[in-house]
Amino acid sequence: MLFNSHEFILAFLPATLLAFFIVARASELAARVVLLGASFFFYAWWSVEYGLLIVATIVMNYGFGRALQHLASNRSQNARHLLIVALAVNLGLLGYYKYRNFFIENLGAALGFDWSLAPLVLPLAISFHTFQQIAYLVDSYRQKVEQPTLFSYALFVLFFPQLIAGPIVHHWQLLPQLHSRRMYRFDAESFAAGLTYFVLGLSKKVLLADPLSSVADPIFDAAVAAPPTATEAATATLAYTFGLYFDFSGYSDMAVGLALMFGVRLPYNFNSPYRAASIIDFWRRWHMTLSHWLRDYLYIPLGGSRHGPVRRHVNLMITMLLGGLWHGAAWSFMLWGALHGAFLIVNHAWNGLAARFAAAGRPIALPQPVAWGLTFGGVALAWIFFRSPSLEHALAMLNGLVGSNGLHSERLASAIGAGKGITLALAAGIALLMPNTQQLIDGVGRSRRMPHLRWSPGRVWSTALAALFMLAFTQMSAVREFVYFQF
Amino acid sequence: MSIFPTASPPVAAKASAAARFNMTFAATLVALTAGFALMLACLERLDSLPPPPFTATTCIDEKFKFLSEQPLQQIDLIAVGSSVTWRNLDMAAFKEAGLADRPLNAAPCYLHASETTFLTSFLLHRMPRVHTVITVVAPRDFEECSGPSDEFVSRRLADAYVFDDLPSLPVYLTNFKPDGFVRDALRIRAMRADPQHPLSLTMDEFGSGPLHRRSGWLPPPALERACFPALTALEATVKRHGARLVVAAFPMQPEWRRRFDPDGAFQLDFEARLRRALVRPETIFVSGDHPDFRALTHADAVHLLWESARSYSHSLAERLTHSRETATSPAAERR
Repeated sequence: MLFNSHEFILAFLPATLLAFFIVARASELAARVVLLGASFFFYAWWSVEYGLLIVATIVMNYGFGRALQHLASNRSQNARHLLIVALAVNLGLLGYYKYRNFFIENLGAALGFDWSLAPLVLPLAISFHTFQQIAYLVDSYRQKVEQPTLFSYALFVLFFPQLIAGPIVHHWQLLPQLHSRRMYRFDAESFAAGLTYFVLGLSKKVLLADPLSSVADPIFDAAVAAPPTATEAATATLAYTFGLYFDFSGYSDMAVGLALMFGVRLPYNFNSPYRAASIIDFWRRWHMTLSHWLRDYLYIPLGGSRHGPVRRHVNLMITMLLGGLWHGAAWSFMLWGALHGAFLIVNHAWNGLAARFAAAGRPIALPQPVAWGLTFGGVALAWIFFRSPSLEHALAMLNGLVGSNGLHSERLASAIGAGKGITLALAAGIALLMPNTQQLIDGVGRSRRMPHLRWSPGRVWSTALAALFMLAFTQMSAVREFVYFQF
Repeated sequence: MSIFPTASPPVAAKASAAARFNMTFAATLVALTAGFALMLACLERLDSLPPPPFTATTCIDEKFKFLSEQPLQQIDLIAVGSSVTWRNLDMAAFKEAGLADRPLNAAPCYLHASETTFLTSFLLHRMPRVHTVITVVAPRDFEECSGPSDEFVSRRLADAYVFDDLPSLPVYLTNFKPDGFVRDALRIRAMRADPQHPLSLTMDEFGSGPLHRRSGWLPPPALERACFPALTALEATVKRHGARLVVAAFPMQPEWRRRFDPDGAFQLDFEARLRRALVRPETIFVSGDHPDFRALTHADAVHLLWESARSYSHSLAERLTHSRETATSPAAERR
């Protein structure tokens, strides 16, 4: 079930909220059962078979977690062995569904065989809940987990607002809230903020991301058959760059909003990433929960920056390559990860150089607009590899971008029209100039621009949001899956 | 206690403001919905209400509206396809020939063969009395497809509206496209009433859309080989519902033929592909290349003027009546 579907908005969400808060008046445990049942229904709506698979992983990982904690608390050597087994099983499952065909087909190609396999249907959200559960296992081994019951653990993994595409939530963020009494009393303030997050997220998705996707998709998909001109390639790249941001950050806002309706606070996932003036800063703002996960459970265990600059650069590249591969089993994702790895290495090298100059009393720094331009340009360039169906398509887009197929064609204007051109400009303006959702609603990291633009639970905001909701609701008919669902 | 990081007014005041916020939000939604319904009612009174927007394509949506007003359970013969079927078949001819008691032209416009397959499946599963399905096809029907059956409309929503009397308000609410709606509201009355309107939506009692004016539209052919399996899928769909399929190749427009098919090779190849796609012995195929069809007057490349459409339909009905002698079953022919 998609958050931006009629069945979710008109049936599932109101029914679940109503049932949860009515039952919670009588019993918190029963309310938790309602929420767990609804969350399972939400997932199994897509596939009962894979619904059972996720339940199996929950039971298995809960068992692993308990055993790990027991062994680790007894300082048993077996704890480390068991952790390796548990991680191997989880990564093996992810690998089987997500990477099996990619690996076998590429191995076959390298050996000169055609080992094409029938495509496997990827269990929805497997990349997200596998990372979530791996973090739980590692923390169990590190004895950082207050052991939950199986029931609580299942709710932690299945809690529907964060289940499908994050934010990637840790046990220490969610489990205490699931047991807090506050969650089981309807809180009008929390609900109002949640509603606002949800409406803004839905609007980002339906009113900005989907139209931008319809600009970018035809040009990217036809890049080989109909090589784009420079303006077509640039427009498609910008449309995809902003469209992806509004798609995924819109989804994350909806997730945060839905959780808030139940009185649960999820971590923010985006913080105006396209305003970053360095790649390091970009990764502190883009898909923040994944960045934190990669840092805490991959980069730092690899050694992080503790063994000198060369090891740090190697660790950065490994982290970004695997981060790229996490997004999908394709060389284009690996290349996207490699590009960001290279950008980060250059960024760290530049910072080192700047520190040396500063120590010598001759500080150097790029002017802010140049730093921003380089960062945005690098990120947008990398998205070409991320979006292109194949490397051939990506190269065709790059060729188009440098003007190999001419600067401009009339096709562009007729394809996008004035309406979508305005949408692109509006999207760029919102992403680059406006306060982001958490700045607007929670006042977190107050924006320097428009500091007085701040949500409050008043009638003006309420009426405007209801109108925005109606507008978004009426535009949902061409329900499009969120881009991040495929990961 | 608030779970928010900022705190200023007292907790009780904030909670009460939030409660008012939630109530205002709900009340505004109700008011906006009521206002929207009122606007639709006013437009309906003015005969200017566009059809419920299933596809944002007026002539398709108008056909869904028409279908929702018909006793579909009673229909025993349907025509399906693109406007090649919608505008070129006079269903009265089939009734007069005794081929059906309640024929219906269910074809809208613009559909490719794969979309026709979907529409046919959608209709037949709730129309148990249909024994014959007729489609008239032109090369344009086979120019684009993403599979043998392409779902071009939400099946669930259309099913509830066409067969189960779902009110149109939810369709307007969920599929509302403001620009198209305004454009259609301004012109729909003329489109429905004026047979000379360039985008005329006038329909006879059977759902056919007569054309009374010519246009110079002569698009070049661009066949997509991968779309012909849609016809095989259509045949299987019709068979699955216990009906027989009649496929008629549209008689090419003379000017179009002179320009794009002077030696007739294209038509031969097109009809050969159609015949190969039809595999069931009970299917009837009617070639478009027949002396009887040479006197027809075309409105454009794929449509006949209504008088010719009537004559063409009578000719088809006659052939079906004597199908054993005059029409061809491609599969039987191959045997």
